[in-house]
Amino acid sequence: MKQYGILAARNIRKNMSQYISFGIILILAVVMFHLGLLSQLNFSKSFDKKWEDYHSPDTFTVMMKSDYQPNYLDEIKKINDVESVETREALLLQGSFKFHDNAMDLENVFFNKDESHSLNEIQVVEKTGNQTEQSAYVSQYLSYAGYKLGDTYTYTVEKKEYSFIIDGFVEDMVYGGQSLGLVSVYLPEKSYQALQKETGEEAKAVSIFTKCKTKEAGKTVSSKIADLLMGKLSGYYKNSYFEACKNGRTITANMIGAIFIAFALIVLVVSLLVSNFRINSSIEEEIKNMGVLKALGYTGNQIILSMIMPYIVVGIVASLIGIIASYFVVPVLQMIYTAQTGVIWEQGIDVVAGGIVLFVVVALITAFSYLTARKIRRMAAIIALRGGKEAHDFKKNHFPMEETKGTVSFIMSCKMMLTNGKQNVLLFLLLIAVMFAGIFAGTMFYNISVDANAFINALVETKQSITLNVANSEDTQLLDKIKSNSNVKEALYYDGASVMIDKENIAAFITDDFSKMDNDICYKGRNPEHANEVAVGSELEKSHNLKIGDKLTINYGTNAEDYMITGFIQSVDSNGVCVELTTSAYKKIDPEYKKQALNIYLKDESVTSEYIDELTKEYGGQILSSVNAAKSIESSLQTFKMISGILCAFIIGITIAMILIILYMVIKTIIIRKKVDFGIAKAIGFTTNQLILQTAVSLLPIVCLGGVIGAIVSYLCMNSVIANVFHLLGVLKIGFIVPVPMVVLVLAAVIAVAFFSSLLVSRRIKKISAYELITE
Amino acid sequence: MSETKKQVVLRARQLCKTFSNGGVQQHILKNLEVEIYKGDFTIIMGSSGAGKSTLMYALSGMDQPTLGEISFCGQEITKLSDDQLAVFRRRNCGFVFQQIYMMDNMSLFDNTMASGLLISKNKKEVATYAKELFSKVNLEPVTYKKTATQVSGGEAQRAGIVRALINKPSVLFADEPTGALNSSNSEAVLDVFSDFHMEGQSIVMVTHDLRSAMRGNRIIYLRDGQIQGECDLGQFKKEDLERRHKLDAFLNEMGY
Repeated sequence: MKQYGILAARNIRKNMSQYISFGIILILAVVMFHLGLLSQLNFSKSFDKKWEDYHSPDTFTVMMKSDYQPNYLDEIKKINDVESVETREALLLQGSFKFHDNAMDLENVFFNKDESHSLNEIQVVEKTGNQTEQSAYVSQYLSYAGYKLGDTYTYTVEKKEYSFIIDGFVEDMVYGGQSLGLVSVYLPEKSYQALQKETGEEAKAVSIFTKCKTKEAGKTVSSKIADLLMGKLSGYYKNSYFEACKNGRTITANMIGAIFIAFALIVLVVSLLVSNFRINSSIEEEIKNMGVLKALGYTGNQIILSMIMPYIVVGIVASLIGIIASYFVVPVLQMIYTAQTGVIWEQGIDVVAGGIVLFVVVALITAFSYLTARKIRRMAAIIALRGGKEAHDFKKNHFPMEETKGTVSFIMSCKMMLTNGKQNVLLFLLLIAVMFAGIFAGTMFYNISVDANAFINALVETKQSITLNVANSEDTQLLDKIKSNSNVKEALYYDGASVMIDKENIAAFITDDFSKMDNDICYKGRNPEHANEVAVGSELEKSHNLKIGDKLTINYGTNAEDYMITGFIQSVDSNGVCVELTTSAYKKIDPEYKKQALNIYLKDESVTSEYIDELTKEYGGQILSSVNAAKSIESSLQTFKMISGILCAFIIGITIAMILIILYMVIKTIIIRKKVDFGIAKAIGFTTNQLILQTAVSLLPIVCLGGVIGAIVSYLCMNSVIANVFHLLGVLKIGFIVPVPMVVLVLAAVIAVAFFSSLLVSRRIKKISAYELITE
Repeated sequence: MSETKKQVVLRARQLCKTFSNGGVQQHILKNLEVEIYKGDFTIIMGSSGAGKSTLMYALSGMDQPTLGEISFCGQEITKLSDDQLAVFRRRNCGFVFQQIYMMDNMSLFDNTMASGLLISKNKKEVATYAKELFSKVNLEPVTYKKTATQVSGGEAQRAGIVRALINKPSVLFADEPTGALNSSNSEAVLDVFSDFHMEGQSIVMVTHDLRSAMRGNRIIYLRDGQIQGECDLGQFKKEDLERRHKLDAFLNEMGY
């Protein structure tokens, strides 16, 4: 073992900077890989732990107090797997609040913070310590939406404003984010009583919390509760369970985790190519020494081990450094996830994630380096002593000077380009990888921060400008008036309802004619057109193994009806657990249904607020409430914009780092190999600048070729790659724009970075003196 | 030819070269003064470590002296930057190395062209002159279109001389040009040097080989970084025993 150590230590000392560069690339890969695994494994684990720590319920139901009957509690207690049940009084308001700089239309459920309870505890993350009649404790995620302690939180319900002073931010596992479609506000006793007095009986609600024997039983218990309440409720009602809540709250972490892992794999592949390249270069540089070692009696395996041992050591050290370094990046992810979910990620040290990363990275490096270095075993000592050359050398003289057009420097660059075979392969593959990373980042950024239409279309069912809650939809005067406005593209009723399929609560989207919708969310088959047709959400398709043409029974209250499946739809809001029904189809199970939500699509959305004012002024009696949906969507986008910005910056940083490190390694290898040639060239009168330029230019064709091919491949397959990433969110159809100018810009930037960094790294040629070459 | 009529190409004044090695200073050239004349075939001899190569590379602008002044045709070159020295070398100096040093990704011909095209933009003219030189050193196109690893050491060294002469340098510097060659190849290479000298080429050659030294007309002997003595051998003629005795006597006197 000692002899391997001596040889390996010599290898490391001789090529220290190359091993450091290799180590840096590996560290980048490990940081991303570890962050990805932490996001996917540890965030989920942390969520589960908090769920337990806060005694969060496994199912939770909110209904208006007027619908609540005390016997429901006894009925729920009788359900199998239910361990305990608790009710809590609340006030439920349906309105909007300021989110970043826009209005967010989202129900608020107000709880009495001082009321004693055993389930669904909350954690006060930050507080002022003041307590007034207007005190409120809001979800932690609002602290990333423009709110600070001491700010006023105003909730607007049909023009009436309820204002509170934010005296604290809380972590609420159940209602602390917007994924369930409502968010909690905790009011101290005085403040709660004041609001109750102001809102009256109409706002009173009850939340039923159920703890099950296992968290997994929550889904079944929730569907049994829904079964129990079916047909008995007339007002607002929301029923959900642990898994649905967790999916909604951890999906961003899962998606970001998947992106990190995908990029880590790209960087890891690049690292393996680098190790392959370096080992091949080392074999060429050290071949005579290997011949000597073989002649002395070292076996092929001993030499191989000494060759690959430094890579294994660097792999282990880089993995450990990367794992530790990733914990310094975690606070950025923590901020992203808290901003998105309201749950503070306390990651701790995750030995499992770290162990997986260490094992995968070291195993891959060991296997790959061994496969690269094993050719040493087959090499005869005498061939090695001859520098690897067989008896004859048939090297070709490419680009003969006499016949090739161009200056001497240009021709020499061309010659150098053709002699850099392995470096060219590495650079070519690297350029494809970095172009892919750059275009991915650019596409995400463009579609989320510049022109978000495709992104919004992937996330929402419809992208209306205004939603009006209309008192009497049968009076068509309002609709006709709206449709006659020249700025109105379309106006149609589009309601959301809750139906049951196999005792599970399912969101239903209802409109007269889906072909008039601005956004077609159907990814397979077609939207329903007739009263006996239904289109089904992606998650239902998967969980019920449904096919087009199948019959599906949908319940509402005591009514049930069979529908034929015409297609499948995507919906992020409802996690793919949804159906589309035409108005006539829905009326078959809910004959009392009256259209209420009127969506208005404007040509020019800059005048949305003015148009709402105009309508309210003219038809105030008919309009119960109005929402500036364009602004609400813009608000929801803020967090995604922040996430995409951070992710893009990270990916671009990694991309540039990869280019610099690989070019450093490639050029250093070229300089080592061509040291004699550079010395000769200097001796016969070439200046350092001429040689630097020759080296940079010799790499340019392959950089351009790899860049262009990378750009074409990325351009063609970017949407399907992004669709795979977004698949986690329930998106199956995505039409992101991959702007050609952005692709060209990324290509130009990558080529420019590569060229200028080549010039920079090639400055090492300056150190080569012709005199040293001769005296060596 | 009397000395007074000789034109000085290179002049070194108070030349010192010191190397530092682990804090220990080694004075290789000590206050050395020398002149190189146009048309001379100057041989620099001396014992190992006397500073022969150091002097030659300092004179050719390949290395900078620690102290002192070197001028080429009256122009001081010791104050030139690295890039200015590169330009000076390409215009005025040709180099022939013991290890030949051909760039291995190009043919012998292209190695020559790469050097020639640094001065002239006229590719045809450079190629024609290169072919003429190759013909003079008895290398056929089939040979000079090969790379250095595909030909014999003697052939490669003759190509090295062609490369050194392609820009019609004022001085051709040769550092032990036959050091790595067998005797027949050595003779062929030395004949080439003699032929070019006969045509008026100024040559400075470092050697410790008596057969090579015989080709020169002026011998400079170095010891401990200083010129110990000089000898004028006169024009080279094959089988010239008188010159041989003169050289032997000089070297004996120098303690060679």
